Amino acid sequence: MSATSAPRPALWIALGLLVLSTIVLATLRPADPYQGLRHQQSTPPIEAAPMCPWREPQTDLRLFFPGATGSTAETRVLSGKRLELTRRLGRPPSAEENALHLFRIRAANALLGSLMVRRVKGEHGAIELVIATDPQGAIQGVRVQRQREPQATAEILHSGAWLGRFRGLSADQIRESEPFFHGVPREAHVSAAAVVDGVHTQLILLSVAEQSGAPAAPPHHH
Amino acid sequence: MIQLTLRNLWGRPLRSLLTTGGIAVAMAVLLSLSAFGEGYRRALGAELGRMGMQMMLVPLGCPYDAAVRVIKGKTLENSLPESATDYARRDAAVAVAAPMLLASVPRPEEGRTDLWAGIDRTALELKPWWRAKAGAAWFSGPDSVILGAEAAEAELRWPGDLLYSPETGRTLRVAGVLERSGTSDDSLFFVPLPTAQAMFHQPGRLTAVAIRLRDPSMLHDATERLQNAPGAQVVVLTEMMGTFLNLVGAVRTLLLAIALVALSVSGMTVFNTLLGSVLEQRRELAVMRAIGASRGQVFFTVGAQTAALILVGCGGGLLLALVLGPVIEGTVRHWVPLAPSGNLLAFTPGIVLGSFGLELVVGGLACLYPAWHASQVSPALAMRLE
Repeated sequence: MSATSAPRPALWIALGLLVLSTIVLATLRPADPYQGLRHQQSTPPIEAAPMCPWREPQTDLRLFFPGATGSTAETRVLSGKRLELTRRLGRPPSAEENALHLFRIRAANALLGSLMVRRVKGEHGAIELVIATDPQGAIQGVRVQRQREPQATAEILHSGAWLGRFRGLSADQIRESEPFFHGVPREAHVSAAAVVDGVHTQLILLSVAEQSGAPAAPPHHH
Repeated sequence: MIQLTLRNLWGRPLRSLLTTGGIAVAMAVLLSLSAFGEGYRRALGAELGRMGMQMMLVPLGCPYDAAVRVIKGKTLENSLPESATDYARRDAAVAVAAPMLLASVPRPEEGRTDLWAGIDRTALELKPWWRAKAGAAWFSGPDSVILGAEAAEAELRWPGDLLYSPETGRTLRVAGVLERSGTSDDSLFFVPLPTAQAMFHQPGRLTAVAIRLRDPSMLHDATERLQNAPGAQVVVLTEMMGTFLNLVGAVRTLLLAIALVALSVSGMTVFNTLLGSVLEQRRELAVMRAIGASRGQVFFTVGAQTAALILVGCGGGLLLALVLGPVIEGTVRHWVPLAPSGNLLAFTPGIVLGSFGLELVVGGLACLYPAWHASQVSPALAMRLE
């Protein structure tokens, strides 16, 4: 065995073992002794509060953008547009409104539109909205993804006829809630107004972001 | 001598780098797993400590399952008769007996679960952190609700607002919102106990009775007496903690075995590196011996190389553990049942020094043969190789 070449095979074997043990460490899952217990308590996880999640992407894409092939998450920073936002919203923007989180929906390379989610304060609990817009910023559709309202109000919020009133409207065309109250029972007015206000606000945020070329954080593809 | 050691290591930078890398990985695994064990024990202890009780009466069935579910604010399939509370309160050793009814309402289409807790005023004696961030700290009437901090944020509720429970058809008014406690209570909707019993059709029934004793030394006797409560069994939290530490210990033993494999591999790598280095340096070693270096000095040279490799590797391993620790914690957390909230990694000085020591021992053992082999090089070899 020569002085310089002898140890090399052993070194490579040791290196191989090291890599192997690292892979084993990274992939091995020990038997779960609590599987039964975990199965019994399998309830959906509790959500973290602040950011409103997009709960059913596939459902919403099928509903609003049937030809969609993918979406890109985008964040537009609006903190530099406070004056314009204050003017258009009629109030100073809240802390969460300093950034707009949206999803760009695409079919191959063509932009089909945008989709946003927003949590608004209903009369009896939070209401989560999914708002789809076309590339010009007009509403393609609205869906309530979560609410905890009494049945009469819930039926209105989920009814296609009522949600259809938003279709085709832009931020400037939704000026007040009144037209949305026709045929809506009085007990549903507070929550219906919250939905209208939420959609209106979101469209304004989108409009300001699009017009001003607000800086975007790096996009995230789905 | 030190200069020679360093020159030998620098002479083969890739080999030295790979060897220290192996040591670093082994060290990082060992450190992270040891820190996880310590962190889990601390976090579990802290969580149980925040409960402010020593034992619980739970329905008949698996007591540990029941106790953990109560601590985590999850519902039970069985229930206790309300008389269990009176039974506990009559015991001379019991300072506080707080009845509670927990109910979870899954809302799968929304990917969440509403967690309701019916309590009475005695519960406050077990929740020292119970402070209202807004509104009142107690119910204003049977139709009032107090929200944990996260529940209030998720529902956008504030004192005075309404909160509707679609599943039970009950409308409640928010009396207060609690400060964040860092416990599972942050996600709960608290209602008066009779309201919860009515909402979930459990009149006169409870999920558990939390008990604090007047004197913890009365635990043994009180446990024996309370075992006789009708339809109930006692779970002592320290026993529960021990049981869970044992269960987690079994998982940890398996993981430590993997860490020891990594440690052994790193030892073999050190052995291989040093042996290769010694074989390559036979001529230099022979010259050293020829000009008067003792066998001990040659042995020390190889030992110093080992120490340098181990120290650099351990330093790298510590950095690796600190960087990858949160990732490992996130992965291991999924294996652990009902992992306590809070940091599960505790890098204490004892753990760091212990891991360093173990790695040094392994390295020391690995260098014995190469160092001995080096010390046996004959001075005459210098002439022959010339």
